Amino acid sequence: MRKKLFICLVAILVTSVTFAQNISIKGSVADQRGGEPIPFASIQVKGTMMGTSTDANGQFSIDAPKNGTLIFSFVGYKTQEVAINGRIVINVDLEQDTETLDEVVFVAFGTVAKKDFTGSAVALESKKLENRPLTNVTNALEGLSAGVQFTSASGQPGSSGGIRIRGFGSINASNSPLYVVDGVPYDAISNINAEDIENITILKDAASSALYGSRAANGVVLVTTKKGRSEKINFSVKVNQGVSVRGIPEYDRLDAYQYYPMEWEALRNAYLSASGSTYTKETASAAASKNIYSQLANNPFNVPNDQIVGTDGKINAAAQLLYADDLDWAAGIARTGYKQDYSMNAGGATEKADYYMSIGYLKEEGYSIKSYLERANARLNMNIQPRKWLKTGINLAGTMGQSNSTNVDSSTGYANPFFFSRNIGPIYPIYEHDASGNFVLDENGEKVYEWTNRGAGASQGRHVIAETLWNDNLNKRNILNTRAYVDITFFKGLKLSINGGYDFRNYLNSGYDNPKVGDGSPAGRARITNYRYDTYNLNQLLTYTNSINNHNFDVLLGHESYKNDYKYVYGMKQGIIAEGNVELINFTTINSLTTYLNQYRTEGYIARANYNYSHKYYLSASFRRDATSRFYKDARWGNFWSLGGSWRIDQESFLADQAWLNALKLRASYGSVGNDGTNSWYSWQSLYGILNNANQSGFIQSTQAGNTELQWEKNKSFDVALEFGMFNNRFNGQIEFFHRISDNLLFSVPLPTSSGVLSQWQNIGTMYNQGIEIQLGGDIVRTKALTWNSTLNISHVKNEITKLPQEEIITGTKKYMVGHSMYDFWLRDYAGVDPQTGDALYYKDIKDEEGNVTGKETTTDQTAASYYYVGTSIPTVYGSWMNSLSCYGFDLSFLFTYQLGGKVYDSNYASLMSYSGYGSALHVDILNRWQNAGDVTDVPRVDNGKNSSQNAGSSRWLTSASYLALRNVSIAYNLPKSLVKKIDLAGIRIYASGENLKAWTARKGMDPQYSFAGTQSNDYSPARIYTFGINIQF
Amino acid sequence: MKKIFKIFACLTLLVSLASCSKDFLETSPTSSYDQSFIFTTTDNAFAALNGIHKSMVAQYYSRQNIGGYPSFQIAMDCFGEDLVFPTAGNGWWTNTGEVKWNSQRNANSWTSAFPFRISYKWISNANMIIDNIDNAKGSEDQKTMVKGQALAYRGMAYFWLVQLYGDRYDASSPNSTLAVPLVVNTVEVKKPLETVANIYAQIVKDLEDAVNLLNNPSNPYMSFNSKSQITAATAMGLRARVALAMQDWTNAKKYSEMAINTTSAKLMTQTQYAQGFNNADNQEWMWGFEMIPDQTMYFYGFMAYMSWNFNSSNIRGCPKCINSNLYDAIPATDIRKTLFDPTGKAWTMPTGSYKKYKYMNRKFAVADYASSVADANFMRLGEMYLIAAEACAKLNDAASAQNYLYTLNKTRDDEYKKSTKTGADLIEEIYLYRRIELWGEGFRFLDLKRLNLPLDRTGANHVEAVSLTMQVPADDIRWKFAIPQEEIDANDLIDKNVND
Repeated sequence: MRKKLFICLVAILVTSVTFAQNISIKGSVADQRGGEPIPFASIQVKGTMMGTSTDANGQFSIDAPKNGTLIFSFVGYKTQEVAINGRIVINVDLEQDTETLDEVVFVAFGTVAKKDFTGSAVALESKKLENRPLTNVTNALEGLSAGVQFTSASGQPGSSGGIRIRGFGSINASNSPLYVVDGVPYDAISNINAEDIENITILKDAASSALYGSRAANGVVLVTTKKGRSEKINFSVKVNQGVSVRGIPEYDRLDAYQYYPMEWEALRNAYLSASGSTYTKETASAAASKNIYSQLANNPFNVPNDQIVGTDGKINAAAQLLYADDLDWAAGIARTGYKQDYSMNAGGATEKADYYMSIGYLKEEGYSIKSYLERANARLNMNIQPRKWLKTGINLAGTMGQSNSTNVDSSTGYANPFFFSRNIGPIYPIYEHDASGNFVLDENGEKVYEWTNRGAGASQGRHVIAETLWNDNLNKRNILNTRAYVDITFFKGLKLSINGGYDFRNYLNSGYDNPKVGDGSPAGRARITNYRYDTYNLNQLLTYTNSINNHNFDVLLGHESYKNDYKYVYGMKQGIIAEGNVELINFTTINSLTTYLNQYRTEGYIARANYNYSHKYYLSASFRRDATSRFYKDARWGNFWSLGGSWRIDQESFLADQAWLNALKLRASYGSVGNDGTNSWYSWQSLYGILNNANQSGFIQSTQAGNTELQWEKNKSFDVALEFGMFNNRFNGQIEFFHRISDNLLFSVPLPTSSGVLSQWQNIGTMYNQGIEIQLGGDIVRTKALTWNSTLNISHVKNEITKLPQEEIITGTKKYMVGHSMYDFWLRDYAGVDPQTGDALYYKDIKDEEGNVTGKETTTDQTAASYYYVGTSIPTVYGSWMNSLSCYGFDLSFLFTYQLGGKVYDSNYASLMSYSGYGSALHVDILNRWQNAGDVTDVPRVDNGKNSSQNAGSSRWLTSASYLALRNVSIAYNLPKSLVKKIDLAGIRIYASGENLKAWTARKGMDPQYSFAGTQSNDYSPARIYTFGINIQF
Repeated sequence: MKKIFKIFACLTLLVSLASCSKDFLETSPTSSYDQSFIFTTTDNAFAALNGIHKSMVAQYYSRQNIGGYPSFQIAMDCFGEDLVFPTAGNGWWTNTGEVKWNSQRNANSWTSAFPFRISYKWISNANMIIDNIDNAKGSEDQKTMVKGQALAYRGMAYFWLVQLYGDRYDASSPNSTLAVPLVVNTVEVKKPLETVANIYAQIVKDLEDAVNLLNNPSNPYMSFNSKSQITAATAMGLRARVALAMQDWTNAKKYSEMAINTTSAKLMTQTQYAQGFNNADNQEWMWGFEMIPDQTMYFYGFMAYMSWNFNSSNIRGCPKCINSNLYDAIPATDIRKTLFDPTGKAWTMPTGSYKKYKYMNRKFAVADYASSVADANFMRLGEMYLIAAEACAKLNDAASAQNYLYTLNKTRDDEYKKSTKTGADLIEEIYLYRRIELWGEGFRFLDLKRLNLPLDRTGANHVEAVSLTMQVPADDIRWKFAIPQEEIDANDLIDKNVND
């Protein structure tokens, strides 16, 4: 029907404009890359009103003068003129116009033409997301931009990694960027359906983000959701299926045959080194052979308990494992997770209204047993314009989610599957076995979990598989995200916008610990945590835009307020009555029942002016005054401002004839933004908490001291950049330099423990981040059959503290000191192993009588060792290499990320090289230990009594953080339009994608991207996800 | 029409641009109170005192073995020879270093950090009360009661600190070595290390002030319905403990006798002695904490490590035992002997998964093996008799010493015959019964230290691989805990090399 109508229309058009000497021309219009037909492209006869457009298959026919010229155009492509020269078949390939494609940049409170943009921003369009189905869309940002550093997302489905834009803005206050969704700050970005996203823009410099003032100190990530665009209804359905497996392999650890002798040696050496020991090597060896079993408490071999390891320290040659297939705990907690993801969306527009709606459903199982995320999304975005001067609209999005989270709350928690499976010795079975190694079965014929016979270092009495399966950690969330606005235009150029946002997020966590084993044992316990955020954001903006001759300017004035209420409800009971029911009513005793409310408010006034002369010289300025409830009333207001300018050199007449140069822009900006991101809602107050003495009311001093002088941390950034495009924009790039000073650092200053208070928030110190960002891109190959676009990002950042109120502040593995970065490691310096004794050696300063350091010596006493700066976690260079290829309808893209330099303090490795308790797993590197006088090695003697000196925290555990990772590969194929047309569809795309495919790192098992501080933890390590999908457009 | 519209629009604009109401930015927590509110009334100040009481048994730093005062008590016996860990269990107290004697000199260890942090938390809270109570609105009698208790806490906390982090007090020396910072008000909170002598002087003053303030039976606020409150007798008991550590036998005698005469507590019966030490209703308890189920202690309470029957990994895998030599020294007719099983086979455990070892204890028990909730005992009358006996014996008043020992032991052992020993022999007998009577209650390490005795775990049922350190000479540096690194880092008045 549609086709007939169309033909009629064309016929009418054609007949009404028929002139003499016309000939009938047929042809097709296609994309120059890949040759995909372009439907609805416009064809016009030059100099006339005559025209037509291509049909759905990119075909057209037109009558035109024999010697005329046809003008082919389509949105997003460069217009092309073709002389007819009497031809009756004309096929045209249109070239994509890269400049017009991303012609607008999303900025604070609106958009701006890219050429007019004076700040630093990088955008990700929906197109890039199409072939890469991500549960959490922020993971698509990795590698996108120079100057943005990421940590890896955990394997828990739906989780996101950390993001740092242009270095590290604060030591103790927040370092995370502000997320803004459809104009309003939003804290739950992970709940947004990637399918709904039109554009994500990272604002990097102060001039771009200054308008978000108070919360933009660490950059801004702007998310804009889709809206309907064309009169034709776009309707599409998407189905993804995938699997999730472990992305980073486990550390290499000793097997049972290697393990028993090593523990024997640790015991034997402990006998010898104990203070006042009367053992000789012979008697100690005999005692160790006799007693090692009683320390390890399990014998998985077919030899008697006192004959597992001989007095020569070797495993009994006859020893064979009785149940070799039941010792792999890492495999026991893992599985292949299944992922499914379905969505439908529709959009359309008329002259006075547009709409977009979508629904989506996703279920992703993690590769750690029992973990999953199930999520359903719905969205409706609608805009109407009832009068020329009045426009209004609403965005409504709802999310329902449910997940079971793997317990990684504590890095060394017994219930943490990653801690447990990594650190349990390879001699402990998952299930109980009888003396001959057969499984013990219960009355139902089921295998029985074993948790009794364990050494002290092997999580005795605990069983992570049973606990994970029998316990619950169920999270439900209900999220409503609303945005509404009214635009009133008083007269041309003057507009008032009122934008409101209300977000409601309700989380319900139901926890259950079974009575048989673990934290809930023996009574069984259940807890319920309900917390909800109600956030309101309201802004009123008045804008005026005008152009007088070549002077173009706009001015904005506004006011904004933000309110966040956090309500917390927690209850816990123990004493399960009947198993199977985990509701609190099924438990006997209340252990805890509490609720509280926390509130956070900000308010700000906004002003901004943009000016340009002839789209050649640009100036922009902004001012913002903000207040926060986190500070005392006399100190809570802060003033922030910015200034930016740019010069489009390519617009100058002296470059007009340089055809190879498409764009050349120099821009610079300076600005200040604020940070109030302390971890306390009431940072300035000295508080007393409630601590009741049984039933009598009680108060106790908080461990945080108040400070009425606490004020905004200020970030002042300078930024200068050169952008260029050349050879038909085939090559483009930008080079940026930034210098970002964080002043009045919000610092949780450790107070002397003897003051009874542990810390106080203070504005102390100054720090800067300085860096260079290079982005180079272009079409390496640009032919009709194949285009290969490639972009290389290279970033370097330097972080240095320049002012502190006290000489040094030591925290964990770091020490803050003027002249050093906030991520410089401060540790004992490992000096290797004494070849005579096998003791670990550490450097120690030699001091003269005045306490001046005169030299260095080594010591075996770790408590006497000196501390030194021994490296930093900040890489020298990091970045990404993005590639997209298209050829014959196939789109292939792959993304590498890399990092060179920097160190990781691998505490996971340290614990696998330590033996504080018998029964904990050991890394294979321990095979290189010192054994006899004269051995030269860097692994000290194994000695269970000397673990704290042999394996003290030191530079020994620092490992190179350099890596190269293949983050993503995706391939997509668009079925030919002609084929699709036959089944009355508009398009079919099939695609496959893989995330976290491969990483090359310094040590197997280690995740160099685990944290910015270069630490490791027993966490849910990242997942590798393979997805296959199909997208059908109607 | 257009004009009306414009006016309307401008009004909207004005209204919407107007700033938020004045108190929009004033927020206050609901789960805590501003400090200024706490000392407005004496009732609130009393609540601040109750907070200290509760903090005696609260968990700290999310550490499973740091549950306030009971953790001090457990640690003190772990460092001794009378408590025996038959295995390393699941690692708490053994791999954490206390039993092995290898963590207290490590300034970065929790062993070094937790008594320091917690003691100063008590001190800081007590200082707030002492500095502010006089200006609170309310009755003078209530002020006296609150202030007296706060002083007692401060004295008690410094007593712990000086014993753990200072050199042994030696009555025959000037005690001029440095111990810990002495913070006694809320203004000067950063202080250098003070000498052992000066810390003891402050402790003596605080506790004597506390005794004076609290020892007023006519004060209506001095009648308590909870044993968590520090009575005059408890303050006297604390003062007596301090005198013992200072080898000040006169005051030890004086204050222990005052405590015995002032307290309403009575020595418990043999039946009560075998009831598990879990109930503050026990007539012998002078000071303790009464737990209620909705303040459960999870796995950080005393009973989670010391009881025989709480169903935790630690108890099931590692029941706590008595030193076999000490066990053998208990007379067969003594009720205290029945609290240990030398065979490791005699008792029926709550479930089959409990491991049994020779000499395991059942002195400490939870009422319900599914819950670690139990009252905590900080001071009981029996100890006062032992102090009085020791002091009298040291003052060469053998008759009084024999009497005090007899009064106590007779209630434990019907067959006990009054001692006829004198001099050093009598003192040895008193020490033996002190070890028997107070086994597992947190005295042994400090007794060894104050008496300048070596640690000797040999010749008994200690397992070398677990205990690791079998002997320590009396003058070893390890009797003194390292000043925590976090204090050294944050307090520039302390020499960086203080632990060298």
